[in-house]
Amino acid sequence: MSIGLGIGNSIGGKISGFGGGSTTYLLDTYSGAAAAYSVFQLSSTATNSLRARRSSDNVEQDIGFVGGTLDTSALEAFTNSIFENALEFDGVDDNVSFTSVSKPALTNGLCFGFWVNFPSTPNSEYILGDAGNTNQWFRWNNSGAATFRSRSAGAATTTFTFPAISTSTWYYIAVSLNGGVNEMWINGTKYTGDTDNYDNENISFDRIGLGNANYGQFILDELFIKVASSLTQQNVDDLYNLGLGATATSVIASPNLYYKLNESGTDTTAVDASGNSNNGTLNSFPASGMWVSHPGGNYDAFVTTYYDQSGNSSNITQTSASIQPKIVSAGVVVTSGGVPAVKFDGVNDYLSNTVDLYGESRLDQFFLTDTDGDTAYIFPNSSITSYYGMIAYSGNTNTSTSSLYGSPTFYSNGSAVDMTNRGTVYTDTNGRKVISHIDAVTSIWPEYRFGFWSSGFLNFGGSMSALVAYTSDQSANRVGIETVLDSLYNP
Amino acid sequence: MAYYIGTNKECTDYNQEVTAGENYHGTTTHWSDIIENPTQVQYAVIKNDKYPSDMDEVEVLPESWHPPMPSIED
Repeated sequence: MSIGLGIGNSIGGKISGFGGGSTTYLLDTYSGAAAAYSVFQLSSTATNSLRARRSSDNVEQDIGFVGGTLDTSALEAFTNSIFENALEFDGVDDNVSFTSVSKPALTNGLCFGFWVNFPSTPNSEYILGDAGNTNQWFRWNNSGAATFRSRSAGAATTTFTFPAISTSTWYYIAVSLNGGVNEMWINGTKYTGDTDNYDNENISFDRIGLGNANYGQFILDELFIKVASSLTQQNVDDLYNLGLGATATSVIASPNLYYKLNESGTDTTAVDASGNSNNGTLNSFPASGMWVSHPGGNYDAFVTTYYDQSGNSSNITQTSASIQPKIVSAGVVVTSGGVPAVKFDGVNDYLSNTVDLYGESRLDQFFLTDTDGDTAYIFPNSSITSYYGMIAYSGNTNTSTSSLYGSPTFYSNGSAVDMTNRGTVYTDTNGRKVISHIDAVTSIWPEYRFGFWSSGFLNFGGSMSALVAYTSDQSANRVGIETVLDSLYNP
Repeated sequence: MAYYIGTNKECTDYNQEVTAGENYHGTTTHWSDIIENPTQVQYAVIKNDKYPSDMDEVEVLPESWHPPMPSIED
């Protein structure tokens, strides 16, 4: 839809055309908002759009903006695991060869990381090696120890010991050797080895699954190697990502080698994703069956907090997990009209403001909503069911607002709505619309809610991309605000 | 989305069981709100499929759980 009133052009949530072409934002232009929530960046000072809880482990994270709109890439990366396939080594003769990755002497630091799963109790499983040097390898010795070796004698081996790991379980392993600080992490927990200093050593790897003329039985995924570098705890935490993983290139700058190992079927090449085109060649593997699934998956994410961008810290929140509206569904950010949208299920979901917006003698509100075919809905409302705002009800002829909401004027896509008939309201407001409530009252409301009125009916099923509220008269600004919101919703 | 119906204590205990099991942290503090029937002494809690219960289960809450329809006002 389009209101058709032009006051500048929208570019990714920002408005250009004001102030001699400089970029400005809705709330910088129409200042004085009491609260504003949006997947678009409405203020130049806004940092985050929302806080999301991912369904896989209930971890929460703030999500900001990119280009003036919710950072959907960050949100999906937070929500989903990176795994697809992995490569299974039989421990008999399977190995991958690649052009040697070398750390020359007098360079400081070597690090590498990977996900690994041992199908049976590990017993000298060689993970990295050098076909031309039987004394350079990284080996999993048994359930509770792993060893790195660089040469035949002297201070040339470092063994890490740790609590026994389990079979048929995925672990994220990271190793960092730098200036005598030798560290290994398992799922983010650090184990420190001896103080052998490898900085003066020539070290190279050119094999996976083969070292010291022996092989390794394991399933491997997301292997990276980087020379002249080391890892921090934060690097490892980011790579592990509480079990969901992260691409090496998103955490480690310019690794020398990075195999995602997402090939499949009869593929005999492991593609290097580092940018160095050092693809690996599968040797002695069966014709097929070696590329196996690394279970992970795409998950949902829910909004715990929709941040107020007005500067008043009047966030709308939902602390109850089961009734938080959704922002990512099966790994993909929910959208409406091509832009991100917070999805309310029409059953229980709602967001609540207990900071502001209730107890107001005047409230002018602008909603960017998209109903999804409900027969009836209310918004906004309060925790007491007799306190509510607009009621839209398909086929119902009763009047449609509460006296406890004052006598506001309603607009849908810039046109006044006849609020004497709920059916008319439904027709005028259903679908994706900019809805304005001018001069509403919430004086005796104890809370301001959006999305849920009762257990059973009149709950809002649909999405909301923005809600901007003022406690002052915005009649003179209404058309301008509506036009900007419309342009954001219809990029 | 299904519900368990029981006493206030049963629903509260169930909610606490799920909340403890899910290890929420951050803004999220619990699994579900406890829903009170407006006309009867009954309570409901949203079911979490990972946590079965012996309480009565319904797919949707019956009409007796609905609040009065908003009154007609001019």
